[in-house]
Amino acid sequence: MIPGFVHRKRTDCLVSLGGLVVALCCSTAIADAPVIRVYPSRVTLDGAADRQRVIVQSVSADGRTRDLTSRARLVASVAHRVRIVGGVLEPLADGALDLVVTVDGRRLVVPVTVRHADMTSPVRFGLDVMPVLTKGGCNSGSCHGASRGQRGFRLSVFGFDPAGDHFRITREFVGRRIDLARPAESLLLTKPSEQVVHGGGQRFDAHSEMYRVLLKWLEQGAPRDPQDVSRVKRLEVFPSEVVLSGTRPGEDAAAESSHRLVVRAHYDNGTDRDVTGLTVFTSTNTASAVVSADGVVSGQRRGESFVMAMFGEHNVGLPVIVVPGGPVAAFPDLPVANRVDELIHRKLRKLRVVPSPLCDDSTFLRRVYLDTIGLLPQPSEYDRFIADKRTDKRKRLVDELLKRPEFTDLWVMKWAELLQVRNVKGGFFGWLRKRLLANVPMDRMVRELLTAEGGFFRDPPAQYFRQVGKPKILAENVAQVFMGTRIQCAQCHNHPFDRWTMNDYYGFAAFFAQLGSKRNWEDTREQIVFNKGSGEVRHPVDDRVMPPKFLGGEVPKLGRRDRRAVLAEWLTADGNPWFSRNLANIAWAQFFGRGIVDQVDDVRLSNPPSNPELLDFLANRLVADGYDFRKLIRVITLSFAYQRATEPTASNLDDRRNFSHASFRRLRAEVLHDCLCQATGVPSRLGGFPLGTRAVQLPVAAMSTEFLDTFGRSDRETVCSCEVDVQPNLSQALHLINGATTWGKIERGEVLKRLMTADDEPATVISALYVRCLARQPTVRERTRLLAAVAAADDRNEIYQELFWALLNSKEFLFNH
Amino acid sequence: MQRDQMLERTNTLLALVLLVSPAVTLAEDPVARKPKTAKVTFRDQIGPLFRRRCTGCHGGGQPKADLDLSRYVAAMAGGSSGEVLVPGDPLQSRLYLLASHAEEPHMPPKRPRLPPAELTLIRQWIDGGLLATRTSRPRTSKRPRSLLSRVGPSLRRPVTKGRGDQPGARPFGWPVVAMRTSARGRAVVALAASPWSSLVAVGGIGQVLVYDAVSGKLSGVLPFPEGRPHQLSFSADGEVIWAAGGQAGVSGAVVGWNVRSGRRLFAVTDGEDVVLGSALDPSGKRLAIGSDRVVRIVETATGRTIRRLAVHTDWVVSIGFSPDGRRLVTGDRGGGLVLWETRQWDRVSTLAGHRGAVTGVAWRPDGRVVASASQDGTVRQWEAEGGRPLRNWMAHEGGVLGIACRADGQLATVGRDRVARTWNQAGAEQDRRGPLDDIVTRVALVGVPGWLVVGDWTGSLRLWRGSEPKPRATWQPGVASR
Repeated sequence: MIPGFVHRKRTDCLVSLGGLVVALCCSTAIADAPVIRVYPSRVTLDGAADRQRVIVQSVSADGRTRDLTSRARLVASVAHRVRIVGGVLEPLADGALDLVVTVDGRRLVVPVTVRHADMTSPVRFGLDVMPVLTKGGCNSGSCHGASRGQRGFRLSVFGFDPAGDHFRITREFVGRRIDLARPAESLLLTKPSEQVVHGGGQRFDAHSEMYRVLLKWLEQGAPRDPQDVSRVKRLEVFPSEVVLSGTRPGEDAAAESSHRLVVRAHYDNGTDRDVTGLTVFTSTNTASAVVSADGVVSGQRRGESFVMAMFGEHNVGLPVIVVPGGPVAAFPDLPVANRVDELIHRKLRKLRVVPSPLCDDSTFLRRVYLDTIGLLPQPSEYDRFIADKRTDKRKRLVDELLKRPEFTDLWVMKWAELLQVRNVKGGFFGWLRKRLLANVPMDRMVRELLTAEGGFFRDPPAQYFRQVGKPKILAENVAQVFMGTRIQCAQCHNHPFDRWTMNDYYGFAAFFAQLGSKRNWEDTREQIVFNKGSGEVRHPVDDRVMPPKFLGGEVPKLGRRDRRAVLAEWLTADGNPWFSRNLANIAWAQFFGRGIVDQVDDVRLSNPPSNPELLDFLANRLVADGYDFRKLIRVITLSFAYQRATEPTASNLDDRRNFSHASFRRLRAEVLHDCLCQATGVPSRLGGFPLGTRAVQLPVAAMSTEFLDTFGRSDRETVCSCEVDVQPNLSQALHLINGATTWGKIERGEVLKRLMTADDEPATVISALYVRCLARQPTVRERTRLLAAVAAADDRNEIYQELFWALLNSKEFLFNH
Repeated sequence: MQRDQMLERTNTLLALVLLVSPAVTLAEDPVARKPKTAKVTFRDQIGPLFRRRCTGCHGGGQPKADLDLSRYVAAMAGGSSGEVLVPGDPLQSRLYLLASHAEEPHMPPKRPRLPPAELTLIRQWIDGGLLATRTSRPRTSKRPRSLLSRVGPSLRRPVTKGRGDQPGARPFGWPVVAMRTSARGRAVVALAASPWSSLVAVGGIGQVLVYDAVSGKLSGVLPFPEGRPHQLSFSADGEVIWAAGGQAGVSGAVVGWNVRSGRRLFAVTDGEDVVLGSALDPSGKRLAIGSDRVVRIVETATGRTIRRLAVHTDWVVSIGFSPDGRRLVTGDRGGGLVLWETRQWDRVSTLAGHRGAVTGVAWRPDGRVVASASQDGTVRQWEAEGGRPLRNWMAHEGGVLGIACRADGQLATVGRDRVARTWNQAGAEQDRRGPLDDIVTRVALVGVPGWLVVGDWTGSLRLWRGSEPKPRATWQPGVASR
């Protein structure tokens, strides 16, 4: 987005000096004069029908924005060239002029050009009429966009099929929907404007822009679009940021503040157009910000929202922050460990959210063990870490953990889920493990994977293309796993909340259209995947051959190369924002329980990153470090953000997205299982694998136990991150309380026996059990009460067993915190 | 103009004399015209045709469905589902039904239907007893012949009801009403032609415009302030014209006029939306109106509803009384088609088959056969006594929009392929006009033999005479000349 026209008064420094003086007497006075911006920064009116709304915004030093449009005076330097009606410029005569904006004693100038002021351009079906149908909600899934339409009249949902919609409106039911002899009497107009009964109610009135567009199109004879019609290239929304704030203190006080948005479409013929009136606006968080149909966003409760603007098949988004009004409490000067903290604090400062303090050593120890290697710290490791007095001991610990084989196990498991490695046969799992153990850079590994061909046994990564005849599924998986975006919707219609169109979908699928497979006749169990060099994907609406097109990118020149190689090269190129951001996000989510984009595989325009700068930083860092995952994780775990306590402060209680405090995360099935085995010292036998094989190491998807099923182990059926279920539920609690796993392991284990033999002093045993299970010492209160209970007990062994069981059943054990 | 008419008559007389036949229209029936000696045989025509079209799958070492069409004996033996050819009866021959796309799976699969000439050849071969060679004996079938043979494959003589040379009704002394015009034409949906004169009626803006096809001039204007005419018809005797229509989303109406005087005979209002289909019974006393999903039977004299027939599940759009008034067919937008008897208004049969809106129904003048046209592209013919299917064929890819039946039983259809076609009773294409600039929406047969008028999406009418390749007249009713 082009930043708005910025103009600071020359006296800015004087004002700020003055402000400083004032600040001494009145602590809440404005420390700095607000910056005034006018959007757009340059206006070109092309054609008699062109309009452009202008908005004026002030941005105060603390980031709050205000819509000053209604207060601003707009004057054209050459009055006869434009007319200004309610903040909207209309062309009168060709030529250049200056739009002079005066507000609060400031004066800003926007250059305006008027062209073809006497030329009326025809209304186009695809460019003008289709957006009306979308804006009016006509083609939404609950109205005529439903698969069977309404009362026999069907439109393509969200307008994926303009040609089909043109047919249905003009020719499907001849003589019914439109009347070119009397255009205004067409049902296409009388129904949605409710001049006659309409089941869907009034969608717009007869004076609206939407009505005028449809009427004009009918008056032209309801033509199809010519082949050479210009198309929308991109969409932009003004202003570039909105931070709403009320004038009074309090959480809800932002309700009175609002800001007008303007949406401008840029066409491939170089023209642009104000399409605000034909844009569909939605807010992703209506508790914080609501947006009206004509694009005025209003603040509600403190928080963040993302406002989506949809025009035709294009989408664009704008982050909106809502902060309490009133005086701003000073934001504390927070220490930072690295760049991660700087970026998080920058966002928190905007939100006026103060993060929680850092957690203590034992909490950090347990957290980083579980997240990095999927195990609890051993009591000896605990003692060593607590006793360590060096200031950089956390750093040392992280370095140590990143070298452990269990770290690799954990990531092999995650990749096996993403790549749907479902068995040990054929060595795909082994290949994956070898790559990660050797710390092969991620980009190289993915290139090897995506270009794999040959027999499944000799070239195990070729197994990734098991679904060889299904280019659509392969494309969906690659997009979801390596780009973190779900394109499935676009198989049947343009994605309503994202940029993907059916063209994108089938263009991307075309990369996998030329895969072939055959049986290896020397070993008939083996399948061979190869590049046929022929085969195409066709668009289902008009059956045209789709050339391979990068998702969100261009149509590459292929030559005679394997299409997948071209794709892999593009995907893993340093400049590709999708790949590195996605990997960085996956890594981040492992340590925070949620991604910067969450879910990690649901990157979408309407689901933006909570902190884009942070994501960019991590992605760039990953690229700069040669796609070394360990280095990235080091940066993440050493940030103060990762080391915060779970206890919230007064202002960050509601925060879930900005990492101002640590969150409670239930351990995933495999890790919980392994921790249980570790704490009790009793390994489980998992299928036919050697005793001592941890659940994290299981290569087989089908192999599972009741325990793992109950706690939501992924069966690797799909690539979706939702396959791993970490939601707590009742059967999990019952399984732990009554199931054989916990109690059986306590009884069979020798932990208690060994503890009691070593030192049967109750305080020592209790303390050892706490360290073993929870990686902390009991609190004074816990210790006192437990000691009393032990003293009163007839059978000490029994009471220790009860305590052990209770600790393993505690939420503290089940959760990482 | 007068001379044209004379010429036409002379031509007809000539044809009569030449063929020594009472049927005026026999001259245009190629089946009848074709000498009986042209034998269609497997060796000469069908074998090569099969080898070109079918034996890629149905031949060779492992023929699909065990049906081998490469050799005569194997073709007679049929495939895994039994015999595919029934001598003398194409409509019981699976091969013909699948090849003509009357039944599924369509053959050849995923390809356009065979050209009409080839289908005709196959049909003639079957009709002729599946000859192997010119000297073979025709095969016979023990099976009873299909229904079609019982209703008669075609009309031998046009139905004239003993009118003799009486001229058809013409406007005389109609009130003078100015034609309302617009800048642009509206897709033609209301179009009718008198069966006994050269009158052509078309819907205008709150009016019905009546033209004389011979002179090309406007004969008169009938006001229809009830709204927009959506359907127009002449009664079988040409004495009454009626319009169904209304204001979309507001009200519906059916209005009838005396063709000679231009006086209103009846006006029935209906419901909250346009009446899309209606029919007047031959006595002129009862009107069947498509009122949303219900068929209302109304007395024209009193406007009283006698009966409500509520079986359709979508808007009733096409209605037709049989010429004797004993039967009624009603078709809806969902493809539902129902045959009724008109004494007790009981349902005789549900005519199942159409997969898209029924866009028109046309009765054969003898009342024994009714044809229906549909958005699914097919024309289906039904036997009128019990409602059994006779035959069907793909008439217009994309959908048939208009259908009309001539006095001799030939059918005229128009559709989305922008073409107008005429068909003989056997469903063989006789004539083709077009493609036009846009989809052809309606067709009407003028009461001058061989004259055809079609309307299209742009609002243009075209008049063709006989087999002339170019339309004799093209005009846009109600469009102000610029």
